[in-house]
Amino acid sequence: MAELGYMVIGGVLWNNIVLTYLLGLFPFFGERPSTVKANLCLGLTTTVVMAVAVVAAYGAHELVLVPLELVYLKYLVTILLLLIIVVLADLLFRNYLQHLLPRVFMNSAAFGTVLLSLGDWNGPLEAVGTAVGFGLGVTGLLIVVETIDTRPETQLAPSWLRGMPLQFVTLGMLALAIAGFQGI
Amino acid sequence: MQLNDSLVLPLLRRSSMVLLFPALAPTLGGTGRAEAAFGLAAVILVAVAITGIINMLLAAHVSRIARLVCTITITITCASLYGFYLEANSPAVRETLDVFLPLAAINILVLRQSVLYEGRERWNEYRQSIWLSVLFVALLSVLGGLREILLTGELFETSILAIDLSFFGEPAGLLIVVGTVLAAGRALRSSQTEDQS
Repeated sequence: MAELGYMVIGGVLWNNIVLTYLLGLFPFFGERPSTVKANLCLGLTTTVVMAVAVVAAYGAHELVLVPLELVYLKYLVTILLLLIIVVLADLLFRNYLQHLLPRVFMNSAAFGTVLLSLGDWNGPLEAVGTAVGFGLGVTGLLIVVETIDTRPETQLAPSWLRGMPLQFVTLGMLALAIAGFQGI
Repeated sequence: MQLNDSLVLPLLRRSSMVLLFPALAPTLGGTGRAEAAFGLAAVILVAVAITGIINMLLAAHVSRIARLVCTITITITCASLYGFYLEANSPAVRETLDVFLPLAAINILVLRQSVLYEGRERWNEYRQSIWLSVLFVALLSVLGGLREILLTGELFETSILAIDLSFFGEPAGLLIVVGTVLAAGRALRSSQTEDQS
């Protein structure tokens, strides 16, 4: 259980999928909702989709692809599973998650997490722990960047630096800062 | 029809340079070498060219969700074939691309093919898609070249930089470089606008 907690915290800090793998940058390239609440919702939705997708991919990989020697189809099966999960979530929660699910699907964090886990399985629980950690890491960054955007001090920056350029420089600085957590 | 519409972002229907930024998102990590960046962008260009034609043919007969599945399947097939080729001929490039090669299937330039071609301007939309993809190949190749120079000081095994700037090729440094390049581009554009006025 302690190891699971370590994985989740690692996913948020020193193994952050955005800052160490450069995955999940889609929302930071201008496709991010405009309030902290909506960003939190997007981040948590991404986390849940990632966790479910990792379990589904684990099942498909271990129970179907490996026994039938169809491992070369792993990318196709994984992306189609992710699409099915997103479409089902859209059918079930359409009223609550308007326009968030396409952003989750197009965000490489979800597909990237499953791809990083493929072939490196140490059990479904560990995979879910990693996915939840990665998802919470993305959520944290979405909130940090949105908070920076809305701070009055940001308006003091030159107009050419505001918005996306400042967000990327901030993400780079954050990546440097969290590198200090590596090796704990 | 409701399901098809809810999975479409308004951004997908736009045909402007703005699309190049979100298109860059899933590929940025795979730009460690110029050769890898070019290969990745070329896979996306080929996928756009093939899926564009197929979506054009299917648009009037098949639902959007079915076209999306078709688009993803074709793109993953292209990426997998290129992956097999690299494994046999250039394992180092395959290693650089790692998980970023299959991510071509969720690239916005590819996914938008499944929502285009529903009106009368089909060939125009196809031409614009190809043009955007060609620009994307150029952008990603330049970025890959820049990152290779920063990481190794070399480009195609020719020494370019004598000083060690490898930090700026690592993820943290690359994010700062991307932010700086975006800021420089904006500053240049705003100064040009001021000069004209």
